[in-house]
Amino acid sequence: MKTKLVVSLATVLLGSVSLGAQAEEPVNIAFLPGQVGIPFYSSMQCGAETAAKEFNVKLSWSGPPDWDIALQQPFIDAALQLHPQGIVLAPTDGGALISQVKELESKGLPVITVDAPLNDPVETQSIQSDHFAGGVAAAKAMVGVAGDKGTFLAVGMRPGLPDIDARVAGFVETFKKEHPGAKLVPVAYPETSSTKAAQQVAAAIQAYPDLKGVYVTHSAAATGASAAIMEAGLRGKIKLISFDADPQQIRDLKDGIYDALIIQQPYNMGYEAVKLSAQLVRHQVEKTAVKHDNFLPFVVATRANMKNADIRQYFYKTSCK
Amino acid sequence: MNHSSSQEALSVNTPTYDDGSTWFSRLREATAFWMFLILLGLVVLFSLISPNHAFLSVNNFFTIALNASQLVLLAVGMTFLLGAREFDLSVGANVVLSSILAARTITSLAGTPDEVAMGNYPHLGPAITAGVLVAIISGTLFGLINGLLVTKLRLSSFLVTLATTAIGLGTALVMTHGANVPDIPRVLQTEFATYRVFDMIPLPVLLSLVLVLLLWFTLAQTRFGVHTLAMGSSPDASRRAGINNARHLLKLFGLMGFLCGIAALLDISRFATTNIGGHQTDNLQAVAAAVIGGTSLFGGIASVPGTLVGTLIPVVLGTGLVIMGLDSFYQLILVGLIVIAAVYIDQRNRQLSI
Amino acid sequence: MHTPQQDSSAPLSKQSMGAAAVEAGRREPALEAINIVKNFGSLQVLRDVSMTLYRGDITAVVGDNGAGKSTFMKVLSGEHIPDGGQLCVNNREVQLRSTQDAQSYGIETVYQDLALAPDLSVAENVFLGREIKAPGWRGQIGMLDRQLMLEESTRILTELGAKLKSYRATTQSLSGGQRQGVAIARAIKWAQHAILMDEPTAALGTRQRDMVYAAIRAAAGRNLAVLLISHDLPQVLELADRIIVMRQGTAVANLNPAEVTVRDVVDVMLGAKGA
Repeated sequence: MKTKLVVSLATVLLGSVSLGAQAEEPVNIAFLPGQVGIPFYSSMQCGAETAAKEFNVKLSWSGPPDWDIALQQPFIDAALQLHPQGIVLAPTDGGALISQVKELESKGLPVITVDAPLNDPVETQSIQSDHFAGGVAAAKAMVGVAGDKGTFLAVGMRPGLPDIDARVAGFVETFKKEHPGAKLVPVAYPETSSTKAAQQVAAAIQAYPDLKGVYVTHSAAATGASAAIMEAGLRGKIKLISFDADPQQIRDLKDGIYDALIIQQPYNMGYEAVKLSAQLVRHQVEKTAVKHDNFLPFVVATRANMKNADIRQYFYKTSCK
Repeated sequence: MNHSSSQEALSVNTPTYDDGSTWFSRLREATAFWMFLILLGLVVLFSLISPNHAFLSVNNFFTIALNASQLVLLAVGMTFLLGAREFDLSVGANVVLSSILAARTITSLAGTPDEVAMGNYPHLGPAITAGVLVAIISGTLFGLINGLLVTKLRLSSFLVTLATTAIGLGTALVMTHGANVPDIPRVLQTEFATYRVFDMIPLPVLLSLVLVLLLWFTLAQTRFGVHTLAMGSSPDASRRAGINNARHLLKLFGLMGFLCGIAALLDISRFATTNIGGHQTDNLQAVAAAVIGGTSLFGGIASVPGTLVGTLIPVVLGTGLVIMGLDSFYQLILVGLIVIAAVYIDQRNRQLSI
Repeated sequence: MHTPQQDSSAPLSKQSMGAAAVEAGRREPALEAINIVKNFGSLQVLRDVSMTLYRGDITAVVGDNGAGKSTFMKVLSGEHIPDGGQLCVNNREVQLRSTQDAQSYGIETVYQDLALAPDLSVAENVFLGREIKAPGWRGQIGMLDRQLMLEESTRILTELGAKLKSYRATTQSLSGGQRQGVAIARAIKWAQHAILMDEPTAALGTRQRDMVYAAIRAAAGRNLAVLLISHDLPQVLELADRIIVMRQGTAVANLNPAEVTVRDVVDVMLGAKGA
């Protein structure tokens, strides 16, 4: 309450003296990534920091080395000790964090989730990739590089994971609806094992001499599939489409390991989340006016367009330079 | 004086014993034998019913071998340990840790960080040599630490390796923050993992096969093998026969670790990346392969060719089901059933032979 | 399976052994224990036990439970290190700090539980820890001479009168007597001076027992000193050349089985009669 009063006072006073956001009191926002040290989240951090500069936000950024609720929880607890005015959270567990987020929201702290949503929509906004749309984009890209005749294979992880399943469904449904001439073989589920992925893709290569394209939805499947294709000596003949844009994946796209990459927008997730947080704290935007779901579209990179600056800007970064 | 005559009489009689013993030894190896029949049956079945007989091709068989080449190393190491009535749950963690250390070595020695990030590797040769050594040394050390904990502290190998699994994976995560090591030279993949000797046999398959044959020989024909099984059969008997059980056990865990190091090398060269999350069930797959092949969980009985069969069955099933266009999860169910059958055959034979 | 009655190892039976040495008037000591003391904490289990085992002789050690028989045997086999006294093998003083030490001095032990590896074959058990390498390059790459070990095991066991169906069979597939035979065969194969046996017939039926007795005699017939711990007094009287009675941790009597009855031995064991 007190903070709110100060902030609104400050807004009134300073706002009347000087124009623009620069002169406002800084807003404290805690950003809690799901994992640090990987390019996806480093890019998100870059976006968040850019927004922090633009909107006069004091940003704290801390998260666990691995995607694990048990590891993330201490970071959440520590961040709350510093009494932030707004919170951006990448929930590592969609169920476990619901009650905590609910309580924070009820205390008037706006919570925005990024990358993954909570299972109950208790946060103010969820900014995430539209994974189904990613699958649709992948299907389109696949037809673009491999045509729509022949056999295609989609590789998931295991059934029951919402993001990955949506990536698979978008691909499969697009093919069924728009390209009935193509044959889709049953989805392969190698879990997180590259070896299993290689085995399943190798078997599909063996079974379907007219296999034209393999679509993988996560990195272990990507490495397994690329190994299987290479081992069969069919690199370039069987098209491979994967997700994300780590520096090595970009290089592999250039080298012909991948034929297209379906890229998320972690930079914009970070940017949008911090921007909206600052606006909510300053009451420039009211919570009731915020729509809960904010889906960011995917960007498709191919060897043909990867030189373009408007595609390159979406490649994941290891540092903000 | 009478000795010599009875000795001669005996050597004439020797063939009689051979007859009886082949029957016995066949009985003992029955699990491996039946499992070999199952493997053969699966190959024939898939060859017959797969569309266009797609399963039946030399190429497919070598692809299957390639997909079994990592696990078979772990499974054969496990065969030795199970034969000696010990266990290693930490093989997956060892593979992950060794592959990360090797990958880090390669990427940090191959060139400056900027060069490596751009995919240029000016010092590729020395870097890969160092990486190979690091993988082998770290894998072996991991195994020896398991062995020392088991022998010096006299702890059960099950619990020791459960603990070192956590420690190994923890170390791997601390080092990498959970991100797989990037920028491993693709040349490992193109010049080693996908290279086919005589345009046919993938190099990793050849490497694994040589190691498996060597270990088969070791278990079946050498003192080391006999002592391994003696320890597993009766630790007291082997100790009283003058065998240093602790030292032998240390060697076995070292061997297991060495094989993990080789498997780690195959991993990074096949996939040109590490696979931190992908080895969680390696330990159980290795145990399953050994058990399918007739190796006893109670020590004293172990068979390397059996383990080879036991490693191939799940891969053949996985490949066959995908070729048939069936859900690959059926593989898990079928492998489970085969494990039960193997254990049942083993148990029945033991009851028969007593 | 086994036909102890037709015991074709007859040339090795009783009359050919120790008797010869006795007639010659000089009995060679193979293993001597002098004033052996062994304590377990404050409990003195062996008090100045002295005993000489002669080549070709079967020496039986009898005594009530807790008299110290097994402890004494374990001192001789290197499993227990004595707290006092001397051990001499072949008239030379030795220190036995482990079973390996004892084995290296030519003393072999047949344990009550036999110490066989049940999953290994007969030949593998006989040669366990002392395997023979194949000749030539095969041996250099570590290969064992399985054929030679098989033949050798077969020879010894046949001489002992144990007829096995297969010498490649695991020992767990054998009968109790056959297993005992394997354990004794192993001891005979490697002993140079003495064989120690702890209750070798405890769990056997009559027929198998006879086979084991024949094997024990055969061992003595090879000019080895045999120490036998047994509860079976009638058999001890029949088998042994001498009977040493232990009571409360010390040897109290040295009896000639030809001159005593079971009753006499029991009396000495229980202390009813002085030594």
